[in-house]
Amino acid sequence: MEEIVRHLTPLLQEVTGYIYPNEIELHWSLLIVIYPYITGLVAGAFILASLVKVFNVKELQPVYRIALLTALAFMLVATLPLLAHLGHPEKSFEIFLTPNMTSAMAMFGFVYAWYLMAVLFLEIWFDYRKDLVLWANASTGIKRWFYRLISLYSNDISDKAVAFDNKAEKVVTILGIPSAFLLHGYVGFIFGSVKANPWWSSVLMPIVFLFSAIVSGIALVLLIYMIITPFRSKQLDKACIDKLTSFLFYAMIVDFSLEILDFIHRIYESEESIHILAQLVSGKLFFSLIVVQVLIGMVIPLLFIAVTKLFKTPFELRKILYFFSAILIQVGIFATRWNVVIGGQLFSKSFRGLTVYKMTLLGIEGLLVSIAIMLLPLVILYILFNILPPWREAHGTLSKRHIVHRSFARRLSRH
Amino acid sequence: MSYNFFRSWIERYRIYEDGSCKVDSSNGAIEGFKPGPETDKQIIRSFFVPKICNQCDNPPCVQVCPVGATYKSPDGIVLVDSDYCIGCRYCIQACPYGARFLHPETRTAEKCTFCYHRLVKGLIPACVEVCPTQARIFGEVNKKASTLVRFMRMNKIGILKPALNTEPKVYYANLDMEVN
Repeated sequence: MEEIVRHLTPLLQEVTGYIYPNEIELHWSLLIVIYPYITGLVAGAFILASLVKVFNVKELQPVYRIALLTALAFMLVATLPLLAHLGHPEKSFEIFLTPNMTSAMAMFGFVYAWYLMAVLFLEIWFDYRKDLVLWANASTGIKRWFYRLISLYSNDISDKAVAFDNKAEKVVTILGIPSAFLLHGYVGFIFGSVKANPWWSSVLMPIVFLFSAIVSGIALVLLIYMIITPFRSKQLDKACIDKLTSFLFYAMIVDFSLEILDFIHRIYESEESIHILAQLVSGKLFFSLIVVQVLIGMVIPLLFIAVTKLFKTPFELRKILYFFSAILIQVGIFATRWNVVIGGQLFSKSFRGLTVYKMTLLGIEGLLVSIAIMLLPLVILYILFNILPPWREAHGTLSKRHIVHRSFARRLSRH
Repeated sequence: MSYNFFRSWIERYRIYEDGSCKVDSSNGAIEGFKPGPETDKQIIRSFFVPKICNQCDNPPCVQVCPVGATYKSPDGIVLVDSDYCIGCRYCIQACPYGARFLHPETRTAEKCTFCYHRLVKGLIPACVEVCPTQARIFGEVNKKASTLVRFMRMNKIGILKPALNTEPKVYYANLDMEVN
């Protein structure tokens, strides 16, 4: 026992004021910072995709499938940080078997399953079905069987069937928007509903989470599109990335306004906790909140994008400004999650003191595991891009006649 | 010797003439308190406050547990079933009193249970039994003519963080407003 808690002794040296004796060590660490960051990217990327399908924003068509696959890749790893953080991951299935209906966290499994199965998988399947059939017909061997399998052995690509696909896809997307809102709004609710913690307890929390999710999701898709397009020796679609940054800009303005509203509201209400929170923000959180989240992650990218909107800028310059803005935004949104999760645990619930968070390098809650979890969705995305190429020219181009010709030719060659 | 996790601890409050208040509970006060650092300021009030799980009637920890591992027993005591606890630590976050912790060996949530293992045998909690000055009184709040009910009728009774509506069942007589 003494061995296990020895690491707390150096933390104790850095505690200021009075904290309850059980509060020395933070209970939710880096892994729980990553979790809302990842689900935010999922929800944001999906909402971006739905702009194309539901609101018919034609300019964004080139990133539609990239956005969907990005959402899927990150969704597949979203549970990992949670599982890794549990004291008993082997018992995690209890959340499904014996959920406590009053617990926000117990609903996670259902929200997650609904979103992954009913929304993401369905939408991607309907969108790719025609192409899967065509790719299956155009390939041989294992690849053919693989595409046949994931197309669920459907082979009807008549205009009527494709029209049905489109219609179904639209219905799924319309259902998907509230679902994406639910997914990330719910993550915000997990924090926002903790009345014991004044830094978290706010009705605005789910909404702030949602808009920061949209910001991070759009910025991520923009980054991915800007990075992979040159690798494929293709030209960036000018209208597309201009439109993407426009939406990014609007989402950022809403997000920033909500954050400022929350800030002003707290100061104006000036509740019992205001003194310790002020001490927190001006001290231990100053760098990650004021410098990284607000200045680097919000104000500077807002200025960059505003410059491209106010002045006529050459596309080359615009591209660079967009790219750096998107990177800064990712850093900023990560800092946002950090400030919520870590910041909310740095002060004592006695409101009399602050503790400290020391990140470890090794161990399950360490930095390396977190980096691995963050890299995993990128690996998955790379695989997805290979299996389900989202590029326009990869869309099944073989007409039925070609297929007939090919099989005819094959039969001929056999003779 | 250092334990660092506590089901129960004692806080020392010192309130100075300028209105400032100093609270400490070094190592949960398991080794008692050392004299504070010398200051020129005059102490105007000082007292000790024992802290345990408040056994809330409206417990936020029970509300948030995703698997129902922490629950309120029929007799009103909040317990943790370590066979069900998955170690997510949401209950620790939800407790406004810092009464919970993750046991480093079992990796499940732990807290004061009013010595439930003793209560079911008809005994009183260990801390009540051994307190040399009888500063702690244990009993049923709803039972008429018990020592506890009589005491509560005769004294000014306070609870911790009443604004959070957790409805604690740990009561403090003549609670100082500095205590939170």
